[in-house]
Amino acid sequence: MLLLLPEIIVGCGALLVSILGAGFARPGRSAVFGWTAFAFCLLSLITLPVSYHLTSALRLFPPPWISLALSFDSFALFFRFFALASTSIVILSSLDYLRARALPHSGEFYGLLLFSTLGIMLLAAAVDLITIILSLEMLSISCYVLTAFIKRDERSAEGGLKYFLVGAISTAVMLYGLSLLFGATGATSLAGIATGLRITRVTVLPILGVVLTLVGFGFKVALVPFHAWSPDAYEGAPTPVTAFLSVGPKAAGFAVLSRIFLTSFSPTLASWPSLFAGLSIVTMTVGNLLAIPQTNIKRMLAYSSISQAGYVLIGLVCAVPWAGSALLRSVPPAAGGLSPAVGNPLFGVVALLLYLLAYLFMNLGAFLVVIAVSRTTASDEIPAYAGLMQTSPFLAVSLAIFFLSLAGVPPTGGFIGKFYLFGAAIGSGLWWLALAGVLNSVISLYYYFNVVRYMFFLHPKEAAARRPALSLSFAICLCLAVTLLMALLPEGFISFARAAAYGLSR
Amino acid sequence: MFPLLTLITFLPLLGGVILLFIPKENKKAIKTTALAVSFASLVLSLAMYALFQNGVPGFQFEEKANWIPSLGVSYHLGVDGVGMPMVLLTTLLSFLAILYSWIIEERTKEYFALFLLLETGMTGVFVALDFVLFYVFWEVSLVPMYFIIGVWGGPRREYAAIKFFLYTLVGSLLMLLAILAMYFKTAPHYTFDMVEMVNRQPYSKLPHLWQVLVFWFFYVGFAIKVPAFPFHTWLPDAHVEAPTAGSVILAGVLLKMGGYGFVRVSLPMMPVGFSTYAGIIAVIALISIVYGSLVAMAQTDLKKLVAYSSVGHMGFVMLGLAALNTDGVSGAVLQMFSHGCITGALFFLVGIVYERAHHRQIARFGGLGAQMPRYYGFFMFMGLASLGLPSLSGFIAEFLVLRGSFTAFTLYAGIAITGIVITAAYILWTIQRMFLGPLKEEYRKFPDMNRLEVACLAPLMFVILLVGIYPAAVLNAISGTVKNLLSAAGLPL
Repeated sequence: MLLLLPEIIVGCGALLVSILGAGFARPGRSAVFGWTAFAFCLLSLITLPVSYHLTSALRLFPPPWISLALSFDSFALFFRFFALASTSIVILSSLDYLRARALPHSGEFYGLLLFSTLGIMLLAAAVDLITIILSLEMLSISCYVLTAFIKRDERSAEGGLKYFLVGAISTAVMLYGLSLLFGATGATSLAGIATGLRITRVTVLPILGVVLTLVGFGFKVALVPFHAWSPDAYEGAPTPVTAFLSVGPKAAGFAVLSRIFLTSFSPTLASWPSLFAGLSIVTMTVGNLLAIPQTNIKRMLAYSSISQAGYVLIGLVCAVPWAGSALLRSVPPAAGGLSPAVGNPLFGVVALLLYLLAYLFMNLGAFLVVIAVSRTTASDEIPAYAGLMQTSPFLAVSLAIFFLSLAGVPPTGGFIGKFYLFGAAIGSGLWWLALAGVLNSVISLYYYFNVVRYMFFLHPKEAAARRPALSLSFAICLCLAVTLLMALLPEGFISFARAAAYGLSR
Repeated sequence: MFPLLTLITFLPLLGGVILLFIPKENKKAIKTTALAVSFASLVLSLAMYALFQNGVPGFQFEEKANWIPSLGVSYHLGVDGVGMPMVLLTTLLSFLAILYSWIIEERTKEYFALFLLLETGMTGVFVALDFVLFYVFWEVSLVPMYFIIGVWGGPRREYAAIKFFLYTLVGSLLMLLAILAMYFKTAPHYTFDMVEMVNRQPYSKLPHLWQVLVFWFFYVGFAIKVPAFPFHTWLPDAHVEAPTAGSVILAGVLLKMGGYGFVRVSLPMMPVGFSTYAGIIAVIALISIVYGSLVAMAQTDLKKLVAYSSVGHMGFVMLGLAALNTDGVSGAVLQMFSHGCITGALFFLVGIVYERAHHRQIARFGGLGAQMPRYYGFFMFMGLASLGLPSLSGFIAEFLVLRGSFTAFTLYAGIAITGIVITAAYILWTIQRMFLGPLKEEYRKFPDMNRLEVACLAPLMFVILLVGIYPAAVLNAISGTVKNLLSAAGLPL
């Protein structure tokens, strides 16, 4: 039970806030629910390392009915931390947003946010197909409703509906794929599937299962060509929700993808590494190219998020030993550090995790600035950012730094992440993948710096901007600090990612 | 151990941070702080010059600390005879550029903060001895330049700024891939340390296809910066649209990063590759020299003329490097130092006349020599330095390059000399059109150079003359290191 404490806290928080919200809602009271939710998140965040280290120190093991469904390894720990961090920051940014727009049902808003966080946390630890599906649904349904939260706004409703429809179809596709795997192996646990696939002859059934699983999750993390719902959902949703969508469900999707593909599927099955490599290149390129003509910053960031998923896939592709068909093997920690030998798959996993970590803070940071600017200008169009440097230098410089990080320019966390990703690619011998990543980084810089151009080179249309709310400024500072810290002192972050990678391989 | 190089590199950054706390209305304080900080860096680098020992193998003033142990990345700084003149050039030109920027009144705080950040980035490139550190500094110098061009530049500044950024970024990222490829061959103790890479020669362990890719990726990364034909097309736009001080730094220092990269990375770490492709590189250098000079002659805008002359002069750097002997490479490094001073001065001069006339069309000028004698004197001096007049630094550098390449490729050296002739032609023709002849009416009231402008140019004049008459001042250090480098690489001296 101790192991589940963070999840229990979040779950209780979700229930409490939802019920309170339903019962005691008053206009202008949204902050109370927000702070309650934030408190629960913070509490859960604190208990996370505590419960993890306490159980390992006391040598407590979870009972079979939990350990068959959930695995509390360091890989899961990484993503549970990820989910809680993202939700905490999103809550901080949404406090002022909800109050300014006087959105009703704020209690439900935070309740749903916490439920989706719970979904991510459980999804990261899931090692059984049923658990995966249940957590995924918990996450997805909460996200559908959150996207359509602004009831009277047609774009919000459209985004939410598109997200829901596409999400439902993708869940169905994925379910079909997973059920085929069950049919082929007779097991719902990932370990069981791994064993089963090794024993049985490879027929159409498991191959189809793998491909459909790939497709299903491809929709969830908005890979190309399964991305069409993403720009509309991101543009329509309330911006704090967009921020959450861009990091939370994406990270969860990658967590599950990594776990399933790296631990259960042999690389020769449906030659999925090549499939992912192709998807990676297409996703990066199409996402970046489609972002160039955008005039709405939320849409632009949506396409940018799509292409960022492509970069993360590089790490996944390189986490496969290309030299042979062996499954991901456990590599004992070397004395000096992670041995980045050619073909060492763990380097790819570390790269994936590190980039996701950097992505969390830089992407959230960018959306937080968007929230701050929309407070003053009431617009999400890029021309509204003209002259931001002169009206609000803090916001302009922060956004510039986040964009530099997203493009992978040093000295930012995004650079460290991309450095690891390209390193993993070169180390695996996939120089063409690294080259594609590099060229896409250049393309992405163009549209990021289009916004920077507006902010720094042009003149503002109106006078001084309203200063962002304290909670929002604090959240932006936090993201900024982590983005820069990751480049100056990366060792701590790298150790965290390495520990998580070892957790997966055990 | 006194952290001299860390101080020289990071003092400007510290100054930039301090600047952020000064209220933007207090422009005098902002400018004074920036000037003081860059002056401090200059003084420290002069101390470094004084304490430098010529001909000693290896690096001096070394500093090493752990940064990212899990990857084998360390904070490793050091200078040798090639890096030391570059650091000196950087601090000198940055100081003079900041001095000249006293006239900037719009958005002063951002301007000087960006300039100081830029100085840190550039200095860092020349002292870094770890590849990741080198790369970080390389990229860090791109960002402030983008803003400097884009905010304080000319009419087409936005286009020029993003073109400069994207163009150079492609090169840098290709370089990153090459760095990573070499890294994975430094088994079993993986490291990004440049000194270690020279010792272990990971390039030789790469399979052939990878060797070709790594060499040419590095080449493109550096060639874009140099800029060598055909990767020079970003230069005219960036140089012309940048504000005067920005152009000075761009031409004076940023271009040298490319040449320095060749000497620091390509030569010692890929000697076999370099000697294999030396012929191609020499031809490219020749095209840069001749084509660059011819295009310069065709220009009507003074600033663009100086910009293209940079392409021509940096072609000599490439030619000297391709020669792969002591004379050639030493000449190339000296040419980098000399050209930095000369072109820096030329861009200052262009800026001075632009401040008064608000145009840069050579044909519209005429007879300025009578109205602005001091300016005429400086321009003549710098023009003659640019065309390689003996007793000025340009001659020594170009002579060494030609002597070196005459031994390696006699024909190419011969063709390169025509480049010098063309340069002389357009320089003298420009001087004749601008300064000689009857004074045009519109320029009758033009003030001559004031004390600030003279103060910016005088140190450069002094350095150019000094190196021209007594080249051993920098050449001893340069050739000492080049000899060690070439012998370590197994190349003929």
